[in-house]
Amino acid sequence: MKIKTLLTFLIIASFLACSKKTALTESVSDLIYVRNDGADMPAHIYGNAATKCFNIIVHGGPGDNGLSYRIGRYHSILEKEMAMVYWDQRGQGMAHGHYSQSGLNIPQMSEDLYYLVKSLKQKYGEDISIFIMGHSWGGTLGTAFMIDTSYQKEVKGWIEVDGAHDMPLLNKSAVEMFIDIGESEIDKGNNKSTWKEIVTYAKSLDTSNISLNESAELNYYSYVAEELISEIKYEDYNSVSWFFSPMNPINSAISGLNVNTLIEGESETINYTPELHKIKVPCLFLWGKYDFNCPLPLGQSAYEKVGTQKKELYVFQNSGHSPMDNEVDLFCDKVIGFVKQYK
Amino acid sequence: MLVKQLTFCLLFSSLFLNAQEEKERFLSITYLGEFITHPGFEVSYAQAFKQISKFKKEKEIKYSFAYTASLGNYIHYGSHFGSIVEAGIKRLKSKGKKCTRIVEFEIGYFRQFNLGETYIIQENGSAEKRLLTSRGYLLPSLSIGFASDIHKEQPIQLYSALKIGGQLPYNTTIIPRVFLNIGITYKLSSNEN
Repeated sequence: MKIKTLLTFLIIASFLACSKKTALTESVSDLIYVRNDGADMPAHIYGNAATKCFNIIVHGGPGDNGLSYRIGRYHSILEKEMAMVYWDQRGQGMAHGHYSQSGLNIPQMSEDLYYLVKSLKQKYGEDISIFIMGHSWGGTLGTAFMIDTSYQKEVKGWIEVDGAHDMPLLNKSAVEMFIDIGESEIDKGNNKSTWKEIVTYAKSLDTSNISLNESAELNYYSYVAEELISEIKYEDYNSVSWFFSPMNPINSAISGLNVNTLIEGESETINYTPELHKIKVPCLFLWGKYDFNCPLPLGQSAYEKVGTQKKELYVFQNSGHSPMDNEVDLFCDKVIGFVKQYK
Repeated sequence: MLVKQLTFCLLFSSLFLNAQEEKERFLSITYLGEFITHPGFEVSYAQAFKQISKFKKEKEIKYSFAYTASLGNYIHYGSHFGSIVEAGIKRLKSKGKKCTRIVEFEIGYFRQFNLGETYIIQENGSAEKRLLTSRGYLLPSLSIGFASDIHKEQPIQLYSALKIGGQLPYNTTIIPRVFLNIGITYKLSSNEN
């Protein structure tokens, strides 16, 4: 009798496991893994899947994790209008597996993203609309994905939020921004000693030949500078549950640091600007006016160079590197409007 | 997978077959908290192979060295399920009968099961959906713990330990794992008294 019950259970379970599609409800809470080339990468899917719109967040770093984008208020607004996909890139967050260091590179990670898109379609149906939203380093990886024409045809649109798709332009623009805004703030008498330090450092750099160390220093100063700008407003985050979250923060931090170190040579020299014309899908570029990390000229350049007329650049006047945290409602309006227009 | 775990258990249990004379043996059942709060349980067995007594300021200090084998499982909700088979050596140091300090080194085989569906990308680019896929890792660990007698007449001790291990090869390197054990140890037999 017990064996019969067990067999029946196994048959039903196998049947359910093999079913083609998952129900698209208004409040999905799913977890899938994508296993590709030695890595098992989790993707948490939350939100309104009944709209058939899925927005994959390509997190920053390298070294951050998908669920770190689910602590700001914006996530609950977006999840009412679409299903948000919080994906951990290979080697980061809770992604695990075995592979050599040579298996950690941008083309490989871009391929991983492609297979995440394919897996979502397999799970929820080929008729779902998928958008990619990359922030910071996610703008680098997202751009790498979008300039591959076989990949981009799988998605409905590209949202780049303060992304880093052109490091030489980024470094040059950051130095100029430090000097321009820094000198202006010194003239106004605001935080004079810190700004003097930043401006002096920026002026000491040769923008045509910035080393990895100097790039890291610029990155550090970008966060220092952002904190000095009074126009930038911050909302409180939800508190992160260290011990009861699907994320293990120690794992994530150590893995992230490792990936950041290993991929630094590639990520800190990348320049996709010459290939931006290959992007033919609708694009939305969202940039903070006071982003010293990935300054506005990157957004302007991408807006001009992409190969589509269905594009928009929006500059948040009271934001730094993360407008989703600085101007939450406006940010959400922009993303929701774009997704509804091109779904 | 189950076959692998059974093989490990059998291999480890063979370590104890040469113990002919009666030495201390312990069976422990504990809460196993991966990262403290990801709940699970662990069953472990220890067999002493060497016992030494020393006297310091007229107080007896007893050292026991034991082989150990354990099987543990835990769940990290929203992430994975972990299953660990370990074998190792522990040193127990007790002054009097009340409290025992324990240091243990183990080598483990750790199986990490993905919760949810896994889409496995095939050579031809298609994705095959499977449930409860897993990967195996090595897990060497060091734990420091205490055991204290509940009652003079009862061979039961309260046991707690903090274990720090390294899961490898994890992605391209190694990742630390922290476990908390809290439970009871039952002394099966002893050559003293």
